[in-house]
Amino acid sequence: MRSQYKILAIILSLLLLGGCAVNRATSQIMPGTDLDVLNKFYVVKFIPDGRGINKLISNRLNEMGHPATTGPESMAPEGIDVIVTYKDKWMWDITMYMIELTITFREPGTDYPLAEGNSYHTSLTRKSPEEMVDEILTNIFSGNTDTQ
Amino acid sequence: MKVLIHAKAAISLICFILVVSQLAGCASAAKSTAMMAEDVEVKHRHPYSVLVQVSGGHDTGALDATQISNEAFMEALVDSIETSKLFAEIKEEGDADYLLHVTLLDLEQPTFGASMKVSMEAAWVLIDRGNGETIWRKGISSQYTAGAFDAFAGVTRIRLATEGAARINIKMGLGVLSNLDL
Repeated sequence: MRSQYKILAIILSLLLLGGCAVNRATSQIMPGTDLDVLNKFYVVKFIPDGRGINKLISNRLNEMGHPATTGPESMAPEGIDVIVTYKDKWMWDITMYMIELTITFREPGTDYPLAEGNSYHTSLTRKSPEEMVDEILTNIFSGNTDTQ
Repeated sequence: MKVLIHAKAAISLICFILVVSQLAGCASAAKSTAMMAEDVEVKHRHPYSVLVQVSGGHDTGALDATQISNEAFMEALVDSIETSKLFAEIKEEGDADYLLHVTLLDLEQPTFGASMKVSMEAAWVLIDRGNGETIWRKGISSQYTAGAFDAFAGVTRIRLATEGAARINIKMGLGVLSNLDL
């Protein structure tokens, strides 16, 4: 009986430890894209987003010296260099947390993806939405392609 | 005594379920053969050589759902170009008339479900290697749904759906490429 408890404890520990630390942060810049010449950004609000992640992205872009505004897709102003789209995924583990965020820079008019960054952190190594936004934008602008 | 026997049986059952669920959750990587597009509609065949490059893919980790590696996607892409005869010659390194670079982007997979829909996007670029000019570029989105009866295990259905989305992406990309007048 005692040995069965031990086996159960080991399996449960493995399951818990197995899920404890998946961290991934990647970014891609498409060939021929020069981010230095792109100045004006417009962050399109992801329709299911009820947490205002679009404002976090827009604010961080402004802090980094890239003029940015945000709103619905239909309100994108003229003369924008980059349309920014994003997708956020949330999970519950005692509290809700953002498990994954993907931010894509797109060419206005064609929607061609110029650059993309992704941040994925599971519960025990969770980051705040502000930190994940910062991680992705920093990776895109610094050209970091893969950090684990 | 009876309680003890029931407890033992219950613990054994829990262990069995946990082990089976873990084994069932072992994802396998997307296979190049399953991502190859065999039925590409070719409008123009290009009498040039092309160098093929793929980036943005990921290896499938022990805790990941099925991922697409650069190597597997490239193999599927090269095989698809060969089969469709879209370009006269394909190179994986060295000199060529054109460079075709595909960057694998967002791969959206469900966590669970009966039927599994996977969406993906890839950025396709064709560059003239003679002058370095970008001839064509396009973001191509594709999706594929593996039905509830396509496979018993959920991880297998995710793999099938991922491979299907990649296969459609290759078919769409090569189809648009064949419309170009190089």
